Amino acid sequence: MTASSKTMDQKMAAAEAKRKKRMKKKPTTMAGETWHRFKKNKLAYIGMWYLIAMVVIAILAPVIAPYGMDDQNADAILLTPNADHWFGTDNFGRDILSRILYGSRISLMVGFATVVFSMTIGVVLGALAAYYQKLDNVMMRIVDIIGGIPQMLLAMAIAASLGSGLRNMMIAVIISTIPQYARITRSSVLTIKESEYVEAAKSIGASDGHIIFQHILPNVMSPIIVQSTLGVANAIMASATLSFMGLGIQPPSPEWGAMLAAGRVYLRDYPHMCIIPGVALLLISYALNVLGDGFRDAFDPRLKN
Amino acid sequence: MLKYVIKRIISMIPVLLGVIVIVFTLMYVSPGDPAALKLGTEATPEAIAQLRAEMGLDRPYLVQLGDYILGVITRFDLGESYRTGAEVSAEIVGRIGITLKLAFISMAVGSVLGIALGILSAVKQYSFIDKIMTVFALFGISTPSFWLALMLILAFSVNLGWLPASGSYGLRYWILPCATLGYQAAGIIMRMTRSSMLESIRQDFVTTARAKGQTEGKIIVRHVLRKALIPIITAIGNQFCYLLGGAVLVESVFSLPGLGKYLVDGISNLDFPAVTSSVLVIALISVVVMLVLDILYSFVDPRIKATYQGDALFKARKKALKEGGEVAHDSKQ
Amino acid sequence: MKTKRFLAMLLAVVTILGCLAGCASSNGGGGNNTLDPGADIGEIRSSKDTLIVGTPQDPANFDPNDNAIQMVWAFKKNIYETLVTLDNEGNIVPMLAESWEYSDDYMELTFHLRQGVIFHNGEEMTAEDVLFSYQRASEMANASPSFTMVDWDNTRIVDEYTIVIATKQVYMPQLNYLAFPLTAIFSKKAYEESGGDFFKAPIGTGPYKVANYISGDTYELEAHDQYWEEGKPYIQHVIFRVITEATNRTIELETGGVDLIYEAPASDIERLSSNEDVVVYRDTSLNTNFILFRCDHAPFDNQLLRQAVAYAVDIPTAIETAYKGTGVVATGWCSPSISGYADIGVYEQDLDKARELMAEAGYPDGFSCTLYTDTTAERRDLAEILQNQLGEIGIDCKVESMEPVAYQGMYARGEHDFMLYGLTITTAEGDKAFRWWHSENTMGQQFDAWSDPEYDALLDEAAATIDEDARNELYRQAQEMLKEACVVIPTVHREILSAASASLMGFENDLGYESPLLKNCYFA
Repeated sequence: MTASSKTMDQKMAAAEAKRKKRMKKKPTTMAGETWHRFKKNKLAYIGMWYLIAMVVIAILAPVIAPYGMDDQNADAILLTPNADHWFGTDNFGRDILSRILYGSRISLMVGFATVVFSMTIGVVLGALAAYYQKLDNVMMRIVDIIGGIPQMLLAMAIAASLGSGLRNMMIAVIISTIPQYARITRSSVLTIKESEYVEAAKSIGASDGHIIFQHILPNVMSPIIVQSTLGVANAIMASATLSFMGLGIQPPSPEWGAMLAAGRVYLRDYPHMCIIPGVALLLISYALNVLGDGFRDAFDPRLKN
Repeated sequence: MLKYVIKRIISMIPVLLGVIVIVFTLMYVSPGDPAALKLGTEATPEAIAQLRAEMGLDRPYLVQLGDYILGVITRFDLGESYRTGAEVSAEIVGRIGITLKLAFISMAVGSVLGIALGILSAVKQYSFIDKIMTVFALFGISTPSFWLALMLILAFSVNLGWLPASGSYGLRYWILPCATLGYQAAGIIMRMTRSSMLESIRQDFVTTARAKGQTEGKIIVRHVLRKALIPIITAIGNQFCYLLGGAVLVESVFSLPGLGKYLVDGISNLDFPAVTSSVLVIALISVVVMLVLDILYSFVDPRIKATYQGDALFKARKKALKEGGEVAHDSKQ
Repeated sequence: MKTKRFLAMLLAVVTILGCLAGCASSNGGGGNNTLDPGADIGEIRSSKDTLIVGTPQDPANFDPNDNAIQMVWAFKKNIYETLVTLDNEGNIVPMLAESWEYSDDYMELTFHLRQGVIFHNGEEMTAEDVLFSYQRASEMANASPSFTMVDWDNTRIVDEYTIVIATKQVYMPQLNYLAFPLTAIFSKKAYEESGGDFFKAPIGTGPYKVANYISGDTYELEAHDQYWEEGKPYIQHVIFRVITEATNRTIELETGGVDLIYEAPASDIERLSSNEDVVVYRDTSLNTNFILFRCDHAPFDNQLLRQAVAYAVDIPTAIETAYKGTGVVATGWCSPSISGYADIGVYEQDLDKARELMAEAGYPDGFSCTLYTDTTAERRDLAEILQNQLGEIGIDCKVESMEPVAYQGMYARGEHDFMLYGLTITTAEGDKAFRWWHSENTMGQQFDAWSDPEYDALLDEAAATIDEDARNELYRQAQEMLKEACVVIPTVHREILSAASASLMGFENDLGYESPLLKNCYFA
């Protein structure tokens, strides 16, 4: 009896020590654990740092850019990459590196701003739809209609209707992406709405607003964060596409899609004018995509393969 | 089953009507004047006013919209093109083949490549091949299609001179456009295949099959792939709709006379009936594809309620769609 | 081991299946058009009596009276012909009419038609067809401006081969208007018999007739074997391929996919010129590009500021960069090939003078303004350069570039401070060239909102002046007024750029309508 109880105690103590040790290594908060899992994904980690670097570059563009955004130089027209102009120059003799750096401001700003807007609107609509059955039918019908048009086509139609320019392009991208957020929020909310703790909150008489904002939304944030990370990539790509087609931002603005469109006529003899903005787009989109993947895996360990 | 299909088809109608209203309105409020554009720089205001009247542009918005919808519903009449004066429906019939062909070939290439590489990647999880494949797939997803198209032209038409850069006169002309769209599709389908394969590989029935001594190949095809098929089909369906949108750009870059190019030309020529109708037709195709998919599922797996695991984008979208359907269904019972 | 082999096989099978699927669907599509899109264009060409043309624009339809775009005429001019036409020296020369004369009071114009002109349907063309075609054209929105001065009550058929066109007043430009491609002659009988479907299988007198087409993509023409000009056309088949992307047109020409391209991109001219297998055809058009000021609101309601801008910009340098060495720097307010052009000199850069004018106007430190342009590559480039140049003397100029459609809406509402635009004077004479700034010209009013009764009177007088020298003197005075008021700054006379494979002979650009005739072409 004593012997066995002693071993029992020892075992418990050992287990306790182990647990403490683990606790030290692994943070116990939800965010901490997520972060821990996230860091293990090397590709996503690199993607994150690339993105941070791009944000810093965008902020510091006027400081680090070797030339001005729109400095024309008739003596340095269409130079291929060289020591003075790392990425070469365009048909006005403007330094492409500088334009890419300035352009990152537009792309990132458009990417993040549009996602913030469309996510906010989409999440509110989706949550309301899921929570109030009466609204649901109407709202989801509208979402179905908008979602029935391929996103790019809708964005094109809106941009064509509003006219070109930064603001109109952003509106086009925002409207065309709202359904994604509305749908994802709605489905997540529907699942959680039936859960026990929401039932419990209801039974103690919590108001609808309280339940939505205190209980439901925090619990559906992870799919929304994943979606919005991918959404930034999507928005950057969509705006570049619109600009490429002449429906978005117009030159001389150094938006990458617009730069690509302008370089298109020089494709054969001076391909660097097309290659470089494209690579810039590709990299930022790649970084955001791996980041989104990383978030998803980190939020939902069951999905981690 | 039949009841469900009919219900779904009926529920398509308000969606398509909504599409008409939205696109028609967008075109209606857009700043240009089709009559003035058609007449060019030398037109007098009287001539413009006269042409506006001839084109019916001077009628109130609701009358124009109602007229268009009535034409579509009662006569399948999509109106007359402002630019050419021809029936839009005839013009669309002449062009839709190109777009469908482009989408189907790209989809075939993308699915085959995506599924094959996805299987390979899943079976060899964590291997070097797997890593390469993952990177390859992500590049497919992250590359802007118009840029990829230009780069392919640069490489294969300009530098190597192997393939033509524009036109649609034979098999050789289709290689570059289909490669552009197919690569993107392949990336997404490959990721989907990989993750859903991995999901099912770990399940008990696979272990059981292994214990029974079945060969690995048999297990992969008979059990794992079959189980993973539904999310893959979903991804293919979604991708097809996405492709229809992407085809717009690719058709423009490669000068393919498809629906997408028709739409883009329509936008720049203020050809409202052409724009509205081509968006409507594309929306119709994607809605029908979605319907066919849903019917397909119920054949592949009656217990369709299982959540789709894998790529968040598609999982979420599909899930929302499904649950929307179910809720409506339940509330009626 | 086994797994590996199995997977390899699976991959192989899947790949083959995929290829099969691809092939199957590629044979399946294509629609029901007569020209088989699957047919290899190389096969058709081997006989070398086929000319393949890469054009930026499809003809939209086969209606001769529709569409105001030059590249559309470039197609239609091979199917339909006009009574008279413009040669490259700006003279009106016979086409379907062999000769013409004015009545003594210059109110009537009598045409003697060529005999033995056969339509594509085998019928002979008569004065009936001409009158019918003109009457229809006068009701069609795009073609009707050619007939606004026609007095239909006195217009009559004299006999089978003679027709009299009467005008409401003495109106010398009328003859030029009848050279306009939109006034082409088609068969009355075929039109009446077709019951509204005429323009799907059009019947004209041109050297070619429409054989097959895939709308928006490929248009195949076939020689008209009863064409009135003996021995022409030389080439049996002409295929128009619509290739919207300028760069793609050049690539196709270089790789032999087409024999001739219209609107070769300026950025490729150097490259094409150095290619031995390609001949580049460059000609100055009847087009003049302008910087147009809107004169009804600040800042450019002030003539001094308009002049300041004219002195501030260095047009020749800007044109060199923006137009990549093509185009001719403008020497006046219309192209030198237009009758009525006067060499009165243009503004040249003089920064001191510009500053002086700005100071005099009360803006010694500059002012801000917005320059609008459409999305044409050259104009957009020009706008960016001008922006830079104006910046140097403190003019803060914003550039706004817009799709053609939005652009049109913008200037119709008169929102611009100043803008870039080009005008092509398809009649090659002064009345049309200078009527843009007449206060009754609504389009011109949209651009500039400038009016001067003295200027209007000059133009009206010129149009009714029969003597050419006296007329040109009036136009000279009009140009002096334009220069002084500085309503517009001429920038460049655009060049017509075509390129063809070196084996193509007999090709010539068309200056008036930028729609070259293919009947004179042959392969060496």
